[in-house]
Amino acid sequence: MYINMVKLDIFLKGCDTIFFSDNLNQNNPFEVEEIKKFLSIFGVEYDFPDITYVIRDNDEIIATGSASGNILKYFFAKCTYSGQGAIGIIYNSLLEYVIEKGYNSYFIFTTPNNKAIFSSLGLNEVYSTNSVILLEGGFYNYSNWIRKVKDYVGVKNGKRGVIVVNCNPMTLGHKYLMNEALKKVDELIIFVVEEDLSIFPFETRYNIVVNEFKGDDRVKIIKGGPYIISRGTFPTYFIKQKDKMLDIYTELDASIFANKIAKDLEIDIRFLGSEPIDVVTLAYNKSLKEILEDKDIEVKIVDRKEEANEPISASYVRKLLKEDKVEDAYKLLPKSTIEFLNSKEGMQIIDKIKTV
Amino acid sequence: MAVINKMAKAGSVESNDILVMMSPGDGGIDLEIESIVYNQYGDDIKKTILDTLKEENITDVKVIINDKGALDFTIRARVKACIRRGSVQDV
Repeated sequence: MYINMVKLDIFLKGCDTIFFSDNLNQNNPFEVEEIKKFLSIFGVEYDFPDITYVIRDNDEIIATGSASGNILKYFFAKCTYSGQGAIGIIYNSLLEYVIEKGYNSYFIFTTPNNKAIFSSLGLNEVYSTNSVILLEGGFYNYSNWIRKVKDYVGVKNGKRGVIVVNCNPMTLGHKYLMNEALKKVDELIIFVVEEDLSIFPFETRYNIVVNEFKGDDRVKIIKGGPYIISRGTFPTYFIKQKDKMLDIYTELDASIFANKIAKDLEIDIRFLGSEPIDVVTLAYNKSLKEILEDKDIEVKIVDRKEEANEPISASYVRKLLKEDKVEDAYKLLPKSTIEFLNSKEGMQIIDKIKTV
Repeated sequence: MAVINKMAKAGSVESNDILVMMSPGDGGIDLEIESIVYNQYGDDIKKTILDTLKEENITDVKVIINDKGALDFTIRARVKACIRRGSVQDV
């Protein structure tokens, strides 16, 4: 009778079977094969998230869910077992994990047919498309975030434009795009992608942009938060991989921007840099243009600035730094980035780039 | 006086249980309740939670409640457990 149930969540099936959720062992090739096979039923590829829970019945997986950072995903249950609370059990186990890791909020990324289940578990919908739904829970949410951003941006004063940048690191290409945008608007909001998955840490990327526009009160620089190109809205952006999920993610991220952020901040125009190389960004730009224009938000694609017939890009700058061609890299960078690279922290990052 | 200094959870979203989550407050008690029996017992649930917080001398906390029809003593136990977990001093 006295089983330790601290880590185990149970539920009753009929009245005789008790189900438990198990932590899947990713080091066991047999279990990995098992989960891959199960997810393939739903057309999903297993990408080794931080943790995966499964429920088994008669040694077969009947339900699963995973977490990567504070993103909960891959919630699937065999249809013959639906309506028995399996997803709720998995959710409880994953929540335990997320809180143990110290996150105070989390996202659920799932298919729209699970909407009712998660709403009843107290989660709020951020946005849904035909193929996915993004929900959030915990102590941080969209309305709090947008309220803070609104307070910071202030009352709208003329035509308002937006640029979203990662700036890894900021180049003269970014600076050119921003200056071109400033010619066309009265106020420019620059969102710097906050997810810390780039070689230049977020604080650094953000501070360089802030320094570059110090004293210009037409420019407002804002931390992108979890709603603009984050692991929640757009995970493939960071792995630069073109797979079948790409369209789903680009649509989600672009829709959140069009239907929520742009509406709440009264955005008139979004500026994008043209994308000659990267397929992920190219797909994103295309999707963004369609969705935004549908909502009567203007989209202006600005041609990339070129230097010696080559478009300036942050990845090219990183390549030059890696090859120790610092002088060549500096030709493509604004003064704030150069200042940073000359600092002690900057040197450390250059060393890091060289070793990658 | 106990102080909530990290995020914590107690309970679950199983039937007849209640999920309590707490995180450090902004200088007051901020309580958000969702319950399948809110229309019938919302005020009682709120009172039980606030009373338990008061008993434990908690004055600065954000609380999110997701209730699945928990009984009064279950609510008290979950709130107390959550306070214990959220007020741990890191050594």
